[in-house]
Amino acid sequence: MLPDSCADPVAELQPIAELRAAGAVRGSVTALAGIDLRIAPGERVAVIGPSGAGKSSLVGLLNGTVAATSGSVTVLGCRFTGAPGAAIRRAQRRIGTVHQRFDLVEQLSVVHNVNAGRLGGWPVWKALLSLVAPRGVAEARAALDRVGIGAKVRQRAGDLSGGEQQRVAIARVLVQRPLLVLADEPVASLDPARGREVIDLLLELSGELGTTLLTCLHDVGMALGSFERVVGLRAGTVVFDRPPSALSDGDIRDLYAFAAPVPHP
Amino acid sequence: MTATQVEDGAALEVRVPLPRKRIRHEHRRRRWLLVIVAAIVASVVTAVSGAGDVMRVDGFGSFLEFFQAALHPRADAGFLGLTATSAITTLAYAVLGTLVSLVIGLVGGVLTSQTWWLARPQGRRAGRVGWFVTRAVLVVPRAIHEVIWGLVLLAVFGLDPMVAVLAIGIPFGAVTAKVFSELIDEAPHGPYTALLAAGSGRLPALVYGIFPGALSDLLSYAFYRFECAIRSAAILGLVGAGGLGFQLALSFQTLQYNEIWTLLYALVVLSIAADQWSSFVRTRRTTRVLGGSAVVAAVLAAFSWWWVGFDPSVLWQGNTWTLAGRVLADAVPPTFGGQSPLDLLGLAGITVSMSVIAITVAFFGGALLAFPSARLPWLGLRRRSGGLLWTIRSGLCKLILVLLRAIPPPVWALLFLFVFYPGVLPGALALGVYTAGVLGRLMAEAAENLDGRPLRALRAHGTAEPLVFCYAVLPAVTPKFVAYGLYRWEVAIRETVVVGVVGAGGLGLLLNQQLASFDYAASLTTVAALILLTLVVDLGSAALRRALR
Repeated sequence: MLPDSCADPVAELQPIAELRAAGAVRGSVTALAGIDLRIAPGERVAVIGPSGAGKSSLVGLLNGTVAATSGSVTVLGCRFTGAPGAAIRRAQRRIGTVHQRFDLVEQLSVVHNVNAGRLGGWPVWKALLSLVAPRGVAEARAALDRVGIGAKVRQRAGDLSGGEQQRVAIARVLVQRPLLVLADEPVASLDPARGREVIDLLLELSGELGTTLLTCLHDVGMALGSFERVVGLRAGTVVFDRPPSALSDGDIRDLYAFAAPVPHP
Repeated sequence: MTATQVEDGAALEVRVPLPRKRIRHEHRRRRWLLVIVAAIVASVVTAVSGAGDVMRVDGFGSFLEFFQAALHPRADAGFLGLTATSAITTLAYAVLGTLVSLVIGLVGGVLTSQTWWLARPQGRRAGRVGWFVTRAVLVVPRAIHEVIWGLVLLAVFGLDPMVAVLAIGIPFGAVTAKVFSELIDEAPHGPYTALLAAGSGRLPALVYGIFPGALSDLLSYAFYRFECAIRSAAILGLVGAGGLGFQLALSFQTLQYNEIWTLLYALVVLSIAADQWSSFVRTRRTTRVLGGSAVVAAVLAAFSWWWVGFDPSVLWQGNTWTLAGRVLADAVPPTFGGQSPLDLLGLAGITVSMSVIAITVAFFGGALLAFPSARLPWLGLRRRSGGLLWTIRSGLCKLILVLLRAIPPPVWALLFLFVFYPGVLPGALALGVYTAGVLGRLMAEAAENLDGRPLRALRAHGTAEPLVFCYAVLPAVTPKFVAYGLYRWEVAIRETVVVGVVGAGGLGLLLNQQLASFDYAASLTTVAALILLTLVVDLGSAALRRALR
């Protein structure tokens, strides 16, 4: 492991991501506290837990958009706390994130949205020029083909259906050639069938490219059925962290139970 | 419903007192309303109780004569040609000024947005400092009126198109930067943060993630600014920058009423055209309309550049910098120039009372003209086709509003000098009449955009129109009208400078005298006082808005 130096990220890093007693305070709310987590290369992890448990904050810590207020976060060999901005950005270029609300620029065409994944690696002039005369069309096209919507390359992103938009978002991650893919409730805005397809696609891609995958999910069945490791998060702390085979129904019930039972008068 | 239930309901109402917070708010509101009434009374007293007479009876003849001349403007080919070229010059200054303001606004807007400074979780404190500093830097150019910029720049560039272009571009740029930064901060941030999370730099993330979504808002505001720039360009002409304003000043000196009307009509046509273009772009924001307008604007800019012989090299050639340095050296350290601080305070009081009278006139005048000019289909009488009578009435009110705001405040002030002795009152009325034209349109738009459902519901009960108006229309529009009124009050404080030209008192008059005698050290003090006053008024208006909400 490379503790403080932030050299170019490499795939053989061991581990890919490591949180040590990490905590995050957002506003006046403690979103996460004392999180210890190690993720090895190629692992596929599902994070489950009730709303407000801190799942999105965990994704934020891992992609460097949320600063840890205590403990340390090291991803792709870069320790985010205290590292210079350029080093953080170098790591971020190889971390792909898929969001619940897709977060595409609806007014731009699909090709620009896919290229947006590579802005970190492009000089500013190239990024600006590309808006007029799109660059890297072949690569964008290949990524879109891979997620099954190659024909939509020239369409306006806002005109696509929800499932298609999430595929564009995944293509945007693919052109980053990511070492770590984070997904924050990637299927919460989709119907069950479309959601299943998106999860299968993410798993397939991680298998093909050997990418590490961490997904936050609301659907417990999906998490237990498809991932080899499940992390239960509740009120900002890790409740359990084990393979689905070692989880009982009681574990799941406790995870989602109300904090204090409401007494009936 | 049974009788007991009704009684219970009534009893309940008595038993539940208003929350204490609400009562306190109500009390504060009443206090503020008292303050407003007192301020208006005090202002009128200040304005009327000047030295000697206020009205001059003998001037009414000239006043009427002037308006009679509206029917026969001078229309021979020679003068029409001069009017046309002057109008094009005014238009060209407006276009180039807007262009400069957009460049400043775009760069400044990004640099004063929280989106830019607080993009990353690291270094937030430093970002907050940077954000605050850039914001503070832009306050100063915004608080100084275009005319003051013009007079100062005149000392640096001499008679050069650059004076008018920068005099519009700098203050407008600062205002545009403020609005742009707000638009950028209010745009959906999902895509932007997603790009930052993927390691993109801030500028590409902004261009890819924020601008595409905010573009139509940014463009529509740019066109609104252009509409304002036409009026500013005319006013700058009055102080010597050429174009319609300059010809107006010449004709006023020789009291050629028919010439004045020809020039005013040209200004009205220009204003209406800009007004129509701007509202067309803002209401129909399709890609084709926006793109087409942008292309037309680019052609217009190239033409304007050539027409006024705009030459950016004056910025770095010749003795520009020496002269700028000299003006600055003269101005620092600022002096009181024969005034005591107490005098300045007194003049500031006059400026405030002038703005209070102006906004009172504008508020009621604007509201009175706004209702008959607005299309209010939910009042029932007027179906889509509308009666002939209504069309005439509405058209007439709209025309009056356009006339009121197309004639620049200094021209109004010169007109009021026919019937009033020089002083606060003609200045205040001039500003009020002009602002009524601006406010009236904003108010009519607000009334037209009302939610029609509660009004239709009242109509469905068989409520008579005047009652619908009192019960549903007035309560719904009043907060909006008040908000617009307060906003225009802030603008009016800045514009008191403009009517100072004609001897209406206050800080504006003093500043004009000081600049005319090249006393830059004293001018700086007055400018600082004006900026301070603007800040105080901004704060006061914000407090009022909170209390009246």
